[in-house]
Amino acid sequence: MSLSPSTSKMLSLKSSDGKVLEVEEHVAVLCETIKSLVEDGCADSPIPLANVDGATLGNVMEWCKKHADQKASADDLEDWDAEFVERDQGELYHLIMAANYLNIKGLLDLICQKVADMIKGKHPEKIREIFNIENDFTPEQQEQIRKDNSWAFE
Amino acid sequence: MEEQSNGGEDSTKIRSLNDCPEDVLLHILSFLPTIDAVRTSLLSRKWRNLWSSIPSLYFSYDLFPPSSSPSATCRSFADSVDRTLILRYPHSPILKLRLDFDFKDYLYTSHIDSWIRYAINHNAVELDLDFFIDRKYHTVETQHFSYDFPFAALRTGRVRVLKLCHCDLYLPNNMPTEPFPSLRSIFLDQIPLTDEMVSDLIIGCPNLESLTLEHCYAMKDLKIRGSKIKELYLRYFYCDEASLEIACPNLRLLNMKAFEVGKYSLKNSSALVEAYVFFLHKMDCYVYWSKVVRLLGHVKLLSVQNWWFKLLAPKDAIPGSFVLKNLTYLELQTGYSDSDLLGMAALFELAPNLDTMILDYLYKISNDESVPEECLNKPINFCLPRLRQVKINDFRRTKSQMHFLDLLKVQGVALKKIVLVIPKVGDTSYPPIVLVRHPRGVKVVEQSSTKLEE
Repeated sequence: MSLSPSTSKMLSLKSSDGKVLEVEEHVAVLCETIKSLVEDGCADSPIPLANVDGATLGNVMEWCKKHADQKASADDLEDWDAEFVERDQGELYHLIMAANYLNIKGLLDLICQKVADMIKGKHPEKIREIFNIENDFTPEQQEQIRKDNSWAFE
Repeated sequence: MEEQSNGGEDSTKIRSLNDCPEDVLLHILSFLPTIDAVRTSLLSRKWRNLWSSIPSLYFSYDLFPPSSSPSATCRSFADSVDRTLILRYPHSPILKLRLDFDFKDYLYTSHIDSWIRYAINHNAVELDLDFFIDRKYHTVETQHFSYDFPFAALRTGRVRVLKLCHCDLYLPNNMPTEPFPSLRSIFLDQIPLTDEMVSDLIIGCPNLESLTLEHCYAMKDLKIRGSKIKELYLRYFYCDEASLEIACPNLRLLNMKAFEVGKYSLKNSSALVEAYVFFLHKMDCYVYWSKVVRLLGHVKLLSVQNWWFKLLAPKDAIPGSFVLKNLTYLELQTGYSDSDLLGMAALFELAPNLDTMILDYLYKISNDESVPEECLNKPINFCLPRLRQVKINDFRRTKSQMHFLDLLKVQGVALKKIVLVIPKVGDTSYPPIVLVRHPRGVKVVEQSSTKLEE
C-alpha cells in the first residue's frame, strides 16, 4: 500500500552539489533506496545523495511527484512520460544513472526504452555517431564480428 | 564528514550514454529486438560481448532480413536463433523469451521446442510466442499447420506469464493432480479451446490471477471458476449457442469486448470493482450488451457504451431492484442525440454516487431506433447529486454537444470541473478547455481560441 498524501511528512534530500530539496515522503519513497532508509528509520535529515546532482534530482522528483499522484490516469501518465523523456543525451544519462542509483524501476525502464528507441533499426556507424562512441576495433576484428553473426548484419 | 568528489567524475564533461556502466547498458539492450542488440557488438570493444548476457530475448521474424523465399527465410531465422542461443553466455539467466515466427512447417517444431526448453531451463519468467505476427503471413492459399505448444514443459520452470498466439495448446492429461503452481498470468489468442481445456487449465494452474481469452474458439459451455483469478479479459467470440459462466470469488476486474454468447452468468462476484464492456454499437449486438450490464450492479468503475435509453422501453426494462449504487467512476462512450441524453439521464438515475465521468466518442454502426414519443417530450433531467468532475473527449462544439454542456452546467449541482478535450486537426493539437465552478457560476480558466464564457 502506498502512503496516502494526507499522512505524508516532508523529507529533505541533499544532492551531490549540496542543494537541498524538500519533498513529500509519499513522493520520495518511489525511490526504493529512500524507501528502505525510511523504513529502517535511517532517514537522516537531510538524506545525502552523493551520486545525484541537484538539477537531476529535481527532474527525478518531478517524475516521482507525477507518478505518486493517484488521480493521474494511465493515459495521462503515458502522454506526460513521452514529454518527460524529450531531453538531450546528457540529461538522459544523468537520469538513467540517478534512476539506477535510487532504484526507481518505472523511471529506469522509461528512459532505457527511450534510449533503446534511439538505437533500434540503426546501422552501427549511425549509433556510434549518436552516442559518440569511438570505434576501437581493428578492421580484422570488425570482420570477425560480422562473420560471427552474419545474419544480423545483412 | 562529508565525502568530497575527488575529481574522478568530471561533472563538466558532457556525458554520453556510452558512459553508462555495463549493467545499465544491458538493461537498455533488453528493450531491443535481439537482432538490434546483436548489431551493437560492432560498436566498440565495450559493447562487443554485451549482447550475450541480455536477460530478455526477442526474436522477431518480422524484423528478420528476408531471404529468396519464405521457406529460406524460415530456415535462416531458425538458424540465427539457434546460433544466438549457442553463443550466449551459458549461465546467463533469461527473464523473458519473446518470439514471433511464421510457422508453416512441422520441420521447425523441434527447433521451437528446444528454444522454449532453453528459456525454461534458464529460469525464464515470461514466455511470449506469437505464430500469427501479421495478416500478411496468412494468405488464403496458406496451408494451416499449427505449432503444438508443449504445456508440460512448464512444469519444471518458473514461468509466471505465458502468452500464446495462433498455435495449438497441448495440455497434459494429469493437470489436476500435477499442477503448475508458477503460472500467474495466461494470455491466449487465436487458440482452439474446448470447455474441458479451459477448466483443466484453471484447475491445473492453482495460482492463476489473470486470464485472457482473445479470438479463441471451440468453447460451448464455458465455465471460468478459479478462486485466485483477479482479472479476466474475454474478447472476440461469437456463438449464440454458447454460454458463459464466471464464478471467481476474487475477481476484481472484468474486461469484455465483443464476447457474444447466448447466456451470461456471473456468480460470487462481490469482489468485482472494475468492469469494461464493449460491443459493436449495432442493433444485433444490443442483446449481448443488455444481458451483460445487468450483471454489473455492484461495480465502482464502469466503462460502457451508452445504450441506456433502450432500457426505457417497457420490453427491455431493467428490474426495479437494479442500482449501480457503488459506481463512482464512469467511462461512457456516447453520442449527444436526444436518445443519448435520455439514456444518460436514465443511467444517472441508477448511479447516485457517481463522482467522475469521462465521455468518449461512440462509433454507431446503425442509427439508434427512435425513442418512444412520450419519452421524447419529457424534459431531460440529470440527477447528479455527487458528480464532481467531467471530461469530454472529442469535443467538437457541435450543437448537440453544446446543448449537453449547458444541461450539465445547470443540473450538475456538485460539479467542480469540466475538461473539454479538443480533437487534433491534422498535426495541430489544442490545449483542453478547463471549466471550473466559481461562486457565481461556471467560468473558463484556461482556454484555447474559442470563447465559452457565459
